[in-house]
Amino acid sequence: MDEHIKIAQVKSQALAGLMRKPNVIGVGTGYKTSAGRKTGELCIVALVTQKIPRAGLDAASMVPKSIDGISTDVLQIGFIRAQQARTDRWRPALGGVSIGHYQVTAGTLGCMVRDRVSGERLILSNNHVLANSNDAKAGDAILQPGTADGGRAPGDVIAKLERFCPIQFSNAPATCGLAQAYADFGNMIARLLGSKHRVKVMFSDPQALNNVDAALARPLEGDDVLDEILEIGAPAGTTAAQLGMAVRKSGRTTGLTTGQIVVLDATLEVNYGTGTARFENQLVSGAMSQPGDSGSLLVAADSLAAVGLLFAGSDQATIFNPIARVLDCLDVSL
Amino acid sequence: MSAPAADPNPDPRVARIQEIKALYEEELLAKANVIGVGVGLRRKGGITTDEPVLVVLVSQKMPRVQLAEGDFVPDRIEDVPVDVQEIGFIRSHEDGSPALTSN
Repeated sequence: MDEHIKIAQVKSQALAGLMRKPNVIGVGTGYKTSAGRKTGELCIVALVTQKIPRAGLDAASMVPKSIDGISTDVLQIGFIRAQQARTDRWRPALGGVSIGHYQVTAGTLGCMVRDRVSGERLILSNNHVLANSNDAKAGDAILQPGTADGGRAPGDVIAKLERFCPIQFSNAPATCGLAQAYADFGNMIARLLGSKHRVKVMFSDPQALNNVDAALARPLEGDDVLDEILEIGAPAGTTAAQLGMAVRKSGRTTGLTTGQIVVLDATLEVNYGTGTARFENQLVSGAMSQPGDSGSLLVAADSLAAVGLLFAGSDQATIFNPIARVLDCLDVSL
Repeated sequence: MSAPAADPNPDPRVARIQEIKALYEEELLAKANVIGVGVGLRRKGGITTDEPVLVVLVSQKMPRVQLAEGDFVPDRIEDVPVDVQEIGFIRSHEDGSPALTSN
C-alpha cells in the first residue's frame, strides 16, 4: 500500500547482500535517475565510490536492476570521510593531515609534488617535519599519522625520506649528525690537502641565510597519497604573493583557516628550540596556525594556486616560505 | 577580491622600500627586540591599511623610555615610512612546540 514502506522492507532485506558487493559503500532509497534526469520513481539506491561499467564486473559484484519488483539505481559518491580527524591514520592520505619523521612529534602533509627530472610523485612538507631539522638521512621512515598522534613503525610508515634543503642554524651546537658528517668529510679533505684549517661544528654565523624549510618523502605506494588537500582540493600551479592577498591553508591542528599576506620579503629569525635560523624572502600573515600545522601548503583564497609553505608562527603571525623557492630548492613542480 | 597575479605596474613605493630595506636591514636586525624586517602594509589601531611601509617586526612592543638610544626604531628612514609591528615569539610549528606563549 504505502510505497515507502514496501521499499524500506525490501531495502532492509537486501541491505547485507548489497553491502557485501565490492565498491558498494552504502544503500538508501531515492528517486531513480534515468539518462541523467531524475524520475518520479522511488527506488533502492546503491552508493558506490566509483561507477564501473557492467562489462567490468562479474555477476556477483553487479547490483541487480531490480529487487523483489523494486527498481535499483547506482549512485557514485566518491570517498566518504566524515568524522575522520586530521590526526587519524588516513589511507589514502592527503594534504592537511598529520605526518612526521619517526623522531618528530607531528606536522602537516603539505601536498604531492612531482620530481622535475623523473616525474615521480613525492610528498612535500617541512625539513623540520620530514627530516628532523637536518638530523635525518634519506630512507628514514615517515609516519602517517606522526608519532604525537599515535603513529608507529612499521604499521603507519607511509613513506621514506627522499631529500631535503638543509637549514643553516645561526647558533646551533654540534648536535646535528649530518652537519658533523659534512664537517668530518671536509676535515678529511683538508687533511689530505695538508691544510691546517679544520671545520668545527659550531654554527655561530648570524648571517647564515635560509630561504626554505622544506623536504620530500617518497610514498611506499603511490596510491597511498592523493593529490587533493583536505577542504581545499588539488592545488594547480603557483602564484606569487602580493601585499594584502587573501590566502588559506589546511593544517593538521587548526584545519582550514584563512588570512591575509601583510608582509613580503621578510628577513627574520625563527626559533627551532635547538637553535635559531635566519630566513630571507619570507611571507607573513596574521595568525592562522598553531603547532602541528607546519608543512601546510598556503593557497590563494580565490583559486587553487599555491603561494607558500607554512613553517613557523606565533599567536600573532604565521610565516611561510615562498612556494617558488621551495619548488626550486627541491627541484620539483606542482 | 581577486589578487593581482602579476602586477604590470608595480608600486614605485614598494621598490623604494626594498632598496632601503637592503641598505638598513643589518642595522635594524642588530637592535634589541627586532626579529625581522620586511615590506608590508601599515597597521593603524589594529587595522591593516593599504599604505606600503618598511615593517620592522618585534616580538614585543616596548615603550620608548625602556629602550636604549641605539635600539630605538625611527618612524622614517630617509624618505621611507617605517612601522614597528609586534608578531610575538616565532617558533617552528611542529606539534608540541611552545609557540602559543609569547616568550
